[in-house]
This record gives sequence, structure tokens and C-alpha cells, in this order.
Amino acid sequence: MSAEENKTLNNLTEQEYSYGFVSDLEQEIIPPGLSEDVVRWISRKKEEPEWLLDWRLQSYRTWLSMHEPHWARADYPVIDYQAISYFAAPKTNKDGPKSLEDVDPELLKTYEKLGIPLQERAALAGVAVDAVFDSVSVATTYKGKLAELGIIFCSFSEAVREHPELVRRYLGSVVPRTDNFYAALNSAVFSDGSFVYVPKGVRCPMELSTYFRINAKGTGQFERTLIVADEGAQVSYLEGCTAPKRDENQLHAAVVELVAMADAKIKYSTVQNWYPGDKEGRGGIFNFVTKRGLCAGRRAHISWTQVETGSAITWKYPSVVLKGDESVGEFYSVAVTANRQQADTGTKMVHIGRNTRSTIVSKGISAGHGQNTYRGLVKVGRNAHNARNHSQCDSLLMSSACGAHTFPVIEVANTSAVVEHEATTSRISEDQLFYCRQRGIPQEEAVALIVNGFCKSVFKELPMEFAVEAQKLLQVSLEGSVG
Amino acid sequence: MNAHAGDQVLHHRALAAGLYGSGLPALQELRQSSIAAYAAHGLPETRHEDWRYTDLSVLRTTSFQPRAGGTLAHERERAVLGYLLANIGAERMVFVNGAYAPQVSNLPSVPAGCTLTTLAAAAATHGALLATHLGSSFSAARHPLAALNTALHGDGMFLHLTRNQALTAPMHVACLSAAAETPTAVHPRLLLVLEAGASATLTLSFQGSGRLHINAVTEIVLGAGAALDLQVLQEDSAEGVHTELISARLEQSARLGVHVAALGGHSSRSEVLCQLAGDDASLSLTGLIIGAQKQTHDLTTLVRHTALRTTSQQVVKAVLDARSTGAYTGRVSVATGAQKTDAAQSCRTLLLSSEASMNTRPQLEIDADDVKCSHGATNGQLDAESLFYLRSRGIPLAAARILLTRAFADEVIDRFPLECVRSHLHGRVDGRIAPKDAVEVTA
Amino acid sequence: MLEISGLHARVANGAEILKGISLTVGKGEVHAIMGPNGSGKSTLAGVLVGRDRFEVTAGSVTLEGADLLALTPEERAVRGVFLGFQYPVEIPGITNAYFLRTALNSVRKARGQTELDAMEFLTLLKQKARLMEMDPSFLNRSVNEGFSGGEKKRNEILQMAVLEPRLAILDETDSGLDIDALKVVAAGVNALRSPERSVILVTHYQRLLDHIVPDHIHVLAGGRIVKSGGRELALALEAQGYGWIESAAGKA
Repeated sequence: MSAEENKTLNNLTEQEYSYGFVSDLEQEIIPPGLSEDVVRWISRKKEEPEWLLDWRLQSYRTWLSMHEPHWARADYPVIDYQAISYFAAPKTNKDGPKSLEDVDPELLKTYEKLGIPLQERAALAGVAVDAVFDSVSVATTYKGKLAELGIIFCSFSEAVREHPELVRRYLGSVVPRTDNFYAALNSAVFSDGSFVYVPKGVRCPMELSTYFRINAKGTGQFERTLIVADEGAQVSYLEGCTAPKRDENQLHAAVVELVAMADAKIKYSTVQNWYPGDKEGRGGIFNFVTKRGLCAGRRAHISWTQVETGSAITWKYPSVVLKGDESVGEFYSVAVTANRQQADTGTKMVHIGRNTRSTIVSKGISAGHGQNTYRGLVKVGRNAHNARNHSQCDSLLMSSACGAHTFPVIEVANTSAVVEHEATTSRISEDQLFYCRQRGIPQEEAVALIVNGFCKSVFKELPMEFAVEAQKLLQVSLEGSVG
Repeated sequence: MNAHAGDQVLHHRALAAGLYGSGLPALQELRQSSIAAYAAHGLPETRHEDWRYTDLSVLRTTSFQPRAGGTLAHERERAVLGYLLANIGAERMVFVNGAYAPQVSNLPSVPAGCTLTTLAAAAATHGALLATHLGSSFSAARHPLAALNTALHGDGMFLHLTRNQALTAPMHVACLSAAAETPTAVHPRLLLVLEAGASATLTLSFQGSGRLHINAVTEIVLGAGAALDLQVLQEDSAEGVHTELISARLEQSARLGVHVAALGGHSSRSEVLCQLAGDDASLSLTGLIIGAQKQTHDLTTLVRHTALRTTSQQVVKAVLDARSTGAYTGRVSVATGAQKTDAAQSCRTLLLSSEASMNTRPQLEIDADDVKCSHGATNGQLDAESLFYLRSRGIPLAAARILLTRAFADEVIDRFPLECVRSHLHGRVDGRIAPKDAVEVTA
Repeated sequence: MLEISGLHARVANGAEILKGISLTVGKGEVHAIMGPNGSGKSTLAGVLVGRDRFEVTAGSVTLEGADLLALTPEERAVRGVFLGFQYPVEIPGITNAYFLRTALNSVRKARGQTELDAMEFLTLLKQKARLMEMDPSFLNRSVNEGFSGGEKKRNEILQMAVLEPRLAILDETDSGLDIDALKVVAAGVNALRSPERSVILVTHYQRLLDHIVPDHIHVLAGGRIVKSGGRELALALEAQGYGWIESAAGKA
């Protein structure tokens, strides 16, 4: 590749984060540090029932005995868990906002800057928005309409108050408290998040969407999301996030649990654009997330689609436990690492039931000094007759200093299983670039074009309005101003 | 230090003075540091990711006594060595329980300046070469069992080919072992040093009987443009444990073919470590895993591309029957600056029984950008359509299964350079040659 | 239109391939460049469009007076230089239609013309596709992916028809084509001949010239033009091969 092409590639991939800013809302923050008292304080603050406090305390005690995992291919300074503040809530009226009019105008301005005007977006796209600013949900729309169908879509705190029996039944049923270090931490201190319940036979008529943001300085964010689709129910959930610019690292350790009963279908789409740190790798979010879905019943279907362009470090493996016979699990992922970003991501497909099927499509793009790792497990249990898996993991390399790594694990203990895994790693093709340029397409646009083509099989899984945003994010991450 | 490691330290203490090279300070130090490394790291455990699929449990519960030597009764020679030695090549070097057996060996003559002898003999004549190369190609900490071999091996093969020299005919190195009354440990060792432009074809076979732990190490040093084809036929005792490291370093334009057939052992692990250190160096690796009964086979490879335009191609197939378990972990690492690397891996598995299982971990670690790397893995059973087609043409089910299994395995068997080895492997796949026919060895 | 003067070029840091080429292509003219394998034909085409694997060591190339060699590949494209690739590249995930629209709008934008919207473009594309006898369904397939050799070459000429270049360089466009496909491609090129458009045909064989009749023929051997002439030259080559020219050049 010529010096000139290299220069263009570098310019493209060293793009500064374009969504960075800090809004100066007044925050209510407890002092940094973690102890049983802090766990109690959070629970009390949120007016939680006793059983939930107990659950948190047990999680905390388990967490104390666990070791921080270091097997991921990521380098980062030691995290001081006592230096993190475990709760931040925007100061609001005592009872919280009931509608957008009640919402702090500063907050709404923040969304404006992000290009996601709440009302407009909700109205235009027919999307119900449950916006999470820092740790407390501040606005939920379209709730009435959903309620008519019996669909519950609310903040996690509200669910604890209004639907304790549902929360109690499903919380921790897919990701046990003790699952891993970060899940245990989250279980102890989770602040808020989203809760969705779709009753039997109901198809949710709109995409449900939540925007997460981290804003308070030095505040970890511990979201908890629980989505339950009862028999024959269908729901599509969109999670998207951007974060303001700041200097020190921030820890984000969310837990997402999905439960799909017989014939239910859950589609969970993520566009993740947390602040990735600057060119030298300063700042940026540590995104250590546990996401797992359980296909509990026959013909249940869970599909994860993610576009990961942000965070300094991403550590997440949205997984599916295929327990019900004929259940289906899918994972579609685009992960971009530029500058000094590191991503260790992938999925686990655990085939337990008969005639279960899973599909994995992972596209990793490494630029600058980015390190991109696919890590996956396909496990076919002894009784998972006729299990089928197809995995495709492709990596695209865009600079001589980046890295792309692929670590699939395939464990098959059933002779009738058919498991196929393919992976390729290659440089962005000079011949393709030249072909585009010879047709008059400028270098930057040619790169965008080729990368979008590379990601096509993932983008087509996203809901339309998200796909557009994802492509835009990809271009912002890699191609700068190229549109 | 676990119990196994503790035993080994005692064995070393008891044996060290009698092992070859005890007069050479460099070798003595090497053995000392190797046993220290083993004591520090101990027998690898399955909770260690690199050893997750290796079943060494019997080593933990049973004490294997290191033993060297033993004789093969002359009248049994033919039965012992069987058709295999007769077919693989007249020129051979035989080790019985790790000790050189000159009476059944037939060493080829080598060109002037070259050396083919035992390590013990080479210690006297080529001390400096041994000191340079023995144990140099792998880390004792990462490969504790290979370090244990370094500490305890009693003898082995030494081949040194000088510039542009060649072994004119394929040569057979046979490691025959038989356990005594008590479980027996044997540490076979090979050091192959091929200088620039030299070439050779070797077949290394392991046959054994009884409760054995065969713990072999082969180190390969290939100078610029050197070429080596190594076939490994592992048919160790069905009651035993076979652990093996093949470790190679290739200079510019050197070419290595490693073709491993893992057939024997109750539990086996064959590990190939290869550094493509010179520009344009290339590795061709073949793996054939055949699992029967309750066998576990683990084939692990680590190929490090550290120079320009190096290529590696790995083709692995596993055929697993009964309650056997197979594992393939293939890591390709491409270092920063190793541009134009071309690395391909494929692992295909055929599960013949509902109780067999396979674990596959192809891994790519890439820190250069101008590379072409790929891996593919599949798991499946015999194709029902094909079976039906054959049966509809009058072929009985059992025969049809054999035919299709053979068709599956052919692709890797065909990669073994020597016809006699290919036909032997065909026999094993077809079931024409039973394991016991191939491994009848007595002390 | 195109003025090549004393052009020397080599493979980047490698052997010299073009050893002094001078050639003038006038407006509306069709020139054929013929020569045996390794004579430098494809290198010449590559240098004209700015392939970075070649390095110009001496000489100049101007397009309507402007220094062509100073421009990036896309700038050359915008000024109307088009290369029909010998081996058209596949771009997975991007449809032919989207690719061509991006290309056309890049060119139009650079020329200060308005960009075409999706409807306008589709109308234009369908009309041009008819010219190349291409099934409209291929417009929604990924660029060249899974195309047969003939389809790829037809696609190249379709792109030429859409982009309307001033100088089209067709590199071995006839290779890999059966006679029917060749006729379609040739008809496409002939339909695009105009007093405003110059064409350079790079080819090993004479048969393409039965269908696209050139105004001038140049024979390239050993990095130089060793003979120029009219159509009769191609026939002589057909009858006698390249040997006599190479040996004649050797003596000279």
C-alpha cells in the first residue's frame, strides 16, 4: 500500500470521538468505595424489598471471594474497585419525572447533542424510549400503548416496585449471581436498567429502545436488564449508547438476561459507542458486560446483533442457552477497534435440547493500534441430537500496528451434530481499493464502501433505523467525515 | 509441587549421575534446570487452558518408574517388529525402552562430515552441538513434560547433516517399549540438526505394550533451505499414556513436513511447536487422529510466524468411535512485521459413535496486517445420503461405513509421504489392522 | 487528447519494464496496443491509471495538456480516464447498482454536476444495461461476485457506458470471452465510440480487432513500441506471429 494510502487510512482511523462532551447536571453521588454499607445504602435509596437486599448482599459476599478474570486479550491498568462511586442519580423532583415536560432541560439538551431528540425520535420512528441517564431512568414513553397489550416496559426499579413477583422469578435465572466476577459485582450494586415482559401470544408492535449514557465523573455504571417473552410472544429490543468525553477510565459492568419461553422470539440489537479513549488510549470506558439468553421452551428463538465501535476495552459474550427442543440462537457482530481500543468479544452457543440450531457471524475490524479478539464457544451436549451450528468469523486488518485474534472453541459430544466453523483474516484489499478509485471514488469513501460490504451480513440483521445509525457509527469510527 | 513432580525429582536425584553427559557441565546444568522447572510447574492440569483436553489423570494416581534398556529376544524379533519395520525401510535405528538396540538396528551410512549416532555417543564427539541445541527450542516452563524428558532421558537419536548433505533413503526410527511388572516411564529423545540445504525423510514410530508412560521429545533445527519430512506413527500401548513434543525452528526457505498419526495410548497428547524464523520458510502439518474404546487424543500445535512470506498449512482429521474423545488445538501466531504470512488450518471430525466427542480450538493471533490466514473446522457424522446410495448399489451397511470413513480419512493419509505408512494407516482406518497387531512388544 | 513522451517505468524497486514509450492519441481515435506476453502492455495501462505497483522513472504523460502522472487514481478517473480491468475485482456485500451510483456521483460531484438520486440513476442504469444485454437482476448482485468471466467483462463495459469517459483503456478485454460474449462486448464499445472519446485497446490477439476496428496499431516488445501502422499490421501479426517483429527490433 502506498504512503499516500496509508496516510489516508491513518487519518480515517484516528478520528477523534465526535460525540464527546460533558453536561453539568447536578448529581447525587455517594463517596467512592464498596462495602456492605454501600450495598445497603443503594438498596435503601431505591426503596427495595428485603429479598432484593439479601440477594445483593449475597452477591457482594460472593464477589469478595472471586478473582478478577484476566484471560481476555486486553491490557489495562489495575482497577481499584474502592475508587469507584457506585451510585449516581440526576437530582430530580422527589417523585421523579412523569413525562418529558418534567425532565431536566439540561438532560434533554444532552440528547439533542447526540442527535437523538427523544420526542421526535419516538414519534417519527414509532420507538418507545426508556432513556437511562447515568443510573436512573428518567423518561419512558409509549407506556400507555404498550400497557393496553399487557406489555410491561419500564425501568428496573419500577419493575421491582410494581412487578416484584416477575422480577423475583426471573432475576438471576439466566445469569446466576455467581456467574463471573463482573456479574457478581453487578448483582451487588446494580443501579437501574430496563425491564420488559411480553405476555403470552403478544407481539410487541414497536421496537423497544433504551439509550444508556455514562455522565458522572468516576461513576461506574451497573445496568441490569431483564427481558421475558412468554409463550408465543415476540419482542425486538434496541440498546444504543454514546458517552461524553472524559479523561479517566470508567467501568461499565452490565448484566442482560433474556428469557424466551416456547415459541417466543427475542431480538436484541446493540449499537455500542461508549467513549473509546483518545488517540493515545487515555480515558475511555471499560465495558465488561455479561449478556445471556435462555431459550427455555420449544422453538424459542433468541437473536443477538451487536455493532461495537466504542469503549477502550470491550469484554462481552452475548450467549444463548438452547434448552428447548428446536430452539434457535443467533449472534451477529461487528466490532471495530481503532486507535488503542481493545475488544475481546464473541458468543457462547450451548446446545442442550434436540434439533437446536445456532448461527454465528462475527466481523472484526482492526485499525490503528486496535486489538480485536473473537472468542467463542459452541458446545453440543450429549443429548442435543441433530444440533446444527454454522460460524463465520472474518477479520479485516487496516494497519500494520493492529491485531486480530480468533479463539473459537468447539466441543461436540453428540454424533448427530453438524458444526461448521470458518474464519478468515486479511488486509483490506488493495485491489478492491484501486478498483473503486479507478472508478472515481475517493480513497476515504472507497474504504467505507468496502468495510460496509464486509459487514453487510450483520447490518442486514439490524432493524432498519438502527442499521442506518450503525453504518454511520462505523464511518465515524473509521472514516471520519466520509458520509 | 504435586506428587508426580516430587517423584520425578527423586528419580532425577537417583539417576542423574548415570545419565549420559554427566561429564559435560552444560548438559548437567541443563538437566538440573529442567528438573527444577518441572518441580516448579509440575504435571499440567486440565484447569490450565493449554491442557484442558489432555487426560493425564493416570499419571497423578500411578507411579511410573523410569526405566532404560531391556533386550528383545532375537527369536521374537520378527514378531516384535512385525511387518512395520520390514516395510518402512531397511535402514533403521531401534530403541528398546529408550535404550539403543544395535542388534536390531541397521544404520545407513551418512556422507562424510555428517553424523548419525546416539545422543550418548554424540555427547562425547559433538558436545558443543548438543549444548547449543538440546532443550533450546521450547520453554521448560510452558512445556514441563518436555523439560522432564530433558532431565531424565537416557539416550536417543542424534542426526547431524552438514551443508547440502542428504540422507539418501527414508529412515525409520523405532521406539519400542514394554512395561515391566510395575508401570514404566520412558523418555525417548531425538535431536535433528540439518544445516543449510541438507535434507532427510524420517519415520518415527512408537509401539509399546503394558502400563507405559512414553514421554518423547524431538527437536528439529533446519538451516537455510534445509528440508525435512517427518512422519510420526504413534501406536503406543492401549493401557499407556503417550505425551510428545516436536519442536522445530526453521531458517530462511527451510521446509518442514510433520505428519502425525495418533492411534495408540489410552491417553495421548502430541504437540507440535514450530517457529518459522527465516523468510520464506514453510511448514506443512498433517494430523490424523483415530480414537477407539475410551481413548483420548489431544493434538496441539503452535506455529509462530516471525519472518516475511512464511507459510503454514495444517490439515487435521479425526475419526472417533466408541467412547473416545479427540481434541485439536491449533494456534497460529503472526508476529508484528511478519508480513505476507499465509497460514491455513483445517480440522474435520467424523464422529462414528454417539458416545464419542471432539473438542476443536483453531486459534489465530495476528499482529501483522498484510497476511492471509484462515481456519475451518467441521464436525459431522457419515452422510446418510451417501450411505444410502452405497447400500442401494448393494454394498452392505458395515462395508459402506468403512468405505465412507476411509474416503474421509484419505485426504490426510495421502499427505504422508511414504506409501508403506499410507497403506498401514489405511489398514488401521479400515479396521484391517487391529491395534494389537501393530503394537505387540514384549520386553 | 493523450500525449505520452519518453516514458520509462519499472515495477516498484524492481526491473524496468517500459523503456521509452512515446505515443499520441488524438480525440476520437482508437489505438490498439499489441504485443507478446511480458512486452509491457499491461504495465503501460497500469501507469496511465496510476497503479502504485509501478514507478515512473522518466518521461511524461499529459491528458489535454494536464500532467496526468501528478494525479491520484481517482483524480484521473474524474478527468475521464477509464480502465477496463483485465481481472475485474469482486467487492462482496456491495451491490453493483450502489457501487456504480457511488462512482458516478463521485465523478459528477468532482465535475461540479448535480448528483443523481436513486430513481434518476436507476433509469439511466437500466437503459445502459440493455445496451450490454445484461439481465437487470445482476444490478442487485454484489460487484462482480460470482460473475462469470464474460459477465465481468460486460460489467466493465457497462461501467464505461455509465461513466462516459474521455479516454477508455481496455486491458485484455477479450481474454476469457467466447465469441458471442466478445461480440456483445465489442458492440458495446463500438456504440460508445464518438468523436469526443478516445480508446486504447490493449490486446494480445488480433481477433478483437475484427470487431473493434482501430485507427492505429502499435506493437510493443521489450518495453518499446517497435512498429506502428494501420490495420494491415494486425493481419501480418496474425499470419506470422510476433517473432519477426521482435527479431527485427533486436537487429535495429
